[in-house]
Amino acid sequence: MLHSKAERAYLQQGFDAGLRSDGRGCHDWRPVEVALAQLPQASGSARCCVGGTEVLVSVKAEVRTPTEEAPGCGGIQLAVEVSPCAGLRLQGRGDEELGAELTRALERCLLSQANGAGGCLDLSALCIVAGKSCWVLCVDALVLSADGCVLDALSIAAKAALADTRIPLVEVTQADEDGDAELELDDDPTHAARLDTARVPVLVTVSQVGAALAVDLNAEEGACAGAALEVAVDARGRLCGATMRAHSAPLHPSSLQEMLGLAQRLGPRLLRELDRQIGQSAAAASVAMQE
Amino acid sequence: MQLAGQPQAPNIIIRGSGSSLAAASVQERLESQYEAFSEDSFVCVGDIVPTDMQEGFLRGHGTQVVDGQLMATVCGRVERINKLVSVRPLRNRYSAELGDVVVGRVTDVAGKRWIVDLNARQEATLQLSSVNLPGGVQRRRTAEDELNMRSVFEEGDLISAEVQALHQDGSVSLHTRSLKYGKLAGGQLVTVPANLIKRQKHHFNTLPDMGVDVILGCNGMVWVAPNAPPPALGADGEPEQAPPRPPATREQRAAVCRMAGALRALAALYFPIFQATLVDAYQARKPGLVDAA
Repeated sequence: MLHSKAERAYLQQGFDAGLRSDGRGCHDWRPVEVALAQLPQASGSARCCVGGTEVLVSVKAEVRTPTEEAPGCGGIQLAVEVSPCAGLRLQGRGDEELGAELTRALERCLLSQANGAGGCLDLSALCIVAGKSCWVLCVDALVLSADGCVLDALSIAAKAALADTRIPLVEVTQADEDGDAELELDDDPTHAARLDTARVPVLVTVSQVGAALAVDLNAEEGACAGAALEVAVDARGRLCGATMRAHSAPLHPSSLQEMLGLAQRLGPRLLRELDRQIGQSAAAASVAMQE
Repeated sequence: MQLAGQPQAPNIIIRGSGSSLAAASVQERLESQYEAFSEDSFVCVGDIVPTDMQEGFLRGHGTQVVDGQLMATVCGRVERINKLVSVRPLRNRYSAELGDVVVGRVTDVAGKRWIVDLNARQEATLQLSSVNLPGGVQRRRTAEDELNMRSVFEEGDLISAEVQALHQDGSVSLHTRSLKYGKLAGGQLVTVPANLIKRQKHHFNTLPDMGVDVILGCNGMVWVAPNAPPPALGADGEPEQAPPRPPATREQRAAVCRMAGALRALAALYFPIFQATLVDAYQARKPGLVDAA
């Protein structure tokens, strides 16, 4: 998007003064809106809006054979797609490249190793028969509209969708002496296992604009930002990972400390509110289901 | 909603719980004073437009006669001028009229002209011969001026201008041959539907009580900036080219933010935008209120 030098200078001065163009301070988010259970076909789904940014995440649980490296674990597969009408005006295959970039960033947040072990979710809980079958969670995200802060919105929606996920209960019956187990799925939606998402972190992108540090930059502000750091923080404020955004400006080590500290202060606040809302809406849903 | 300055817990809303709080206070205040477009003046595609027992009505834009009745072909607001009945779409591109004050963005520098984006169907052109060159001298434009065009306006610059001519093919020529037009700096742009900007005598609004200047571009692009210092008079009594503005103070920025928020609230409510509604919307808004997009 085109911006004049004067507009960029005005935005820059706003960050210096601690008052942005829409009335926010440097460390304020735009209103974050989360809605659960948006897709009836998915095992779990969530839609998240942060200002003009809107993302939709679905989780689908599939029964597959576990990998040889981790026979006792299930898995997670991530894929982010950027809608061509998200308003980014990318050229050529730019939206695919951006989608791949966001996928990797989200993978770094949710999975710690290439095989998915040791991440924020207990993958051994997804195992059905060790070495034979397990649940694989396919997390598919779609960026519907992008107005800055896309990655943060994706991580919020992913956490909400995982919290919303219902995995059918499985009964394993030993069928024959070959050891091939037969699986029987419980199709009662009220009897379903839930994932423990308490340790799932959220990504907070801290950007440097001039001398100031800020979160949740909209598209216009993003155009005048310098270095950006994507920090994964969990509910206790522990760091789960940090990555320099691709094509980001170089960063001084002293400001790195400051950026991590800011993410550690702001992340838990965001997560507390998110967890409270997820809890409320899950309680409301279970009441509705019982009735 | 949160106040600027002190970082607060981010507010997370589960969909459907009062997302338009910012607009509500503005709506309350405005509806008591101004007549909003009445509900029944809006029609949808295929709706019969009431012609009020008029004997001979004239079919205007956005309508079609079906079985002797007037039917809307677009979603929008019914406009009646004497016998002419037309439907003006809710969202359409700006259509220029001669003499309109517009705010636009320079997208390209071409031979002897700038290409300006006005959110219209076509991009407008601003000829090198229709700008005031720096220094304010009236002279022939030389090849040297043509080479230095980027020193006047460059790609991305926001400018205010006036519609000089409309051409047969629908293209628009602009001019900035007055000191009030030209490059915009030190403020922020708010884009609203062009339909909401009423054409008036004055589109340059100076609101000293609030400390903001508002340029209501007829194309729906509105420029909000802190009050400019009064132009200094030159030796011959003529106003000189305005000096560069000092950076806005925090108070000035807060006022600009509040005015921009008022504009967004008016646009969200689909309320006509002119000086009086702007002032009321500004006063109805609490300072430091943040919008949901």
